[in-house]
Amino acid sequence: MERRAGSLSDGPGQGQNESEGQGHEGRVQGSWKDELHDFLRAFSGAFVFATPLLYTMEMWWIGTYADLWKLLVFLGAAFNVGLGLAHSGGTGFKRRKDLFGALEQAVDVVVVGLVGAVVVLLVLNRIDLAGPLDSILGQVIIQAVPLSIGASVANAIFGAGGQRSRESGKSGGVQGGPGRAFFRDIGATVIGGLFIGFTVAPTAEIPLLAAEMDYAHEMGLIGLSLLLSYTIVFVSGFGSGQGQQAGLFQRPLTETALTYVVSLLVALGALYLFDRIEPGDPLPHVVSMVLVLGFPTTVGGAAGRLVV
Amino acid sequence: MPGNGSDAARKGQGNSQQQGESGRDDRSVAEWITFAISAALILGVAGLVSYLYVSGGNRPPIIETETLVDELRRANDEYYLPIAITNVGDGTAEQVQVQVRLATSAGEPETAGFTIQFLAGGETVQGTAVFSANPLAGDLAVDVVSFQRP
Repeated sequence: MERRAGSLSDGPGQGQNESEGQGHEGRVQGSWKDELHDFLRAFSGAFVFATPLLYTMEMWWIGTYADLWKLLVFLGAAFNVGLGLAHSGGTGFKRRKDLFGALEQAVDVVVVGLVGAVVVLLVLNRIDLAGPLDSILGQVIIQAVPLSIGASVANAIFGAGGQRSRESGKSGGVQGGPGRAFFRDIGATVIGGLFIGFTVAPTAEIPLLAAEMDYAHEMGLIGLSLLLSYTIVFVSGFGSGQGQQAGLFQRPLTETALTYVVSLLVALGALYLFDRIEPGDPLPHVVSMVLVLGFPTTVGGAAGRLVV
Repeated sequence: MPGNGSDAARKGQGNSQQQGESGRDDRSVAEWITFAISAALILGVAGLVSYLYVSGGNRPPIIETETLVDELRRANDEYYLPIAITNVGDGTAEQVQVQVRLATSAGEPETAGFTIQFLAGGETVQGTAVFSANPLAGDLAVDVVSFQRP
């Protein structure tokens, strides 16, 4: 992230090449850390873009019965969309913009889509690895399409190199002090959580998913929500300024936990307002529903913190 | 900069900040390895789908039932009998309706039923029929009465 923060202020001017090539901390561009960072940003973009479709039952069903040749078409479509978006420049999650770079990115975004789909479908108990292979492949490939598009536009979401840092927010944070920054973050989390949460909260998918979650899946969902929240805000979005923020709640792990709690409260409120839960409902049912809706509200909340 | 001028100029336009000082491809080992793994994964998935497409049958759904008597349980004077429904065909069945009929020596036969939303080829889904009489003590008939093709 350090290196990113340096690179984002660098223009495309030729004089920047030397410092860019070495980066901060003496690292070489294209190191394993850079690759990991790029992939994490791609995953963040994928989930911010595609979460509502991950919670769409028709997407699960189509996957189970789609003809196999159509799956190949979907896979090809994801690859070509990735290639087009990468080659058009400016939207990808990678830094290279030459032809091979576009090919590289197209391959990477499809893999991000496939891996992201496997993880989220496993956590949401939509696929069982012991089930029929063509059904699993179908569900994964169908969901991989929007996820890979999201990965392709990661730069548009987070800014190239992750420069959607709090450069403007920083000054605001300093002016208003840690307390004000804290409340601004809470507000942004609520707004972002509602933004994505409202597209999902009234649908029948929430009780359907909640009914089929057991303890292991719930734990997995909590873990995935926290990981994505952290990745979206602190890996993908903000540059190096984050560690310099003042105040208790500006620490990454504290903020991640806080964002998750706020997002769960947003989910709880939305479920109550949509009459999905009411006082007196059995606690395990309520917990399961809140955790299921908590995933989209967390993704939205984390993304909201980058926007607001 | 080495290389011919037009090549260097072309590269310089689009990705000057991406290239090292040579202006040539300076991808790191990490980038090549991740690219290779990613490409292999995609080719693997595409190959797997193609293999299934070529080798797989296209039989319509064939649905078999199995009563899981070992898992029969009793609660509140009711008998809960799990029944496994398996699609041994290749195509997916939608809205699979299962009817269960229990004839005992005492009184009218009892009927139960459930619907399975989707049953992919090779998939097994479990439903439960609930009776007031012990299903082991009577004649049990499990029938798949209808399904749709998606």
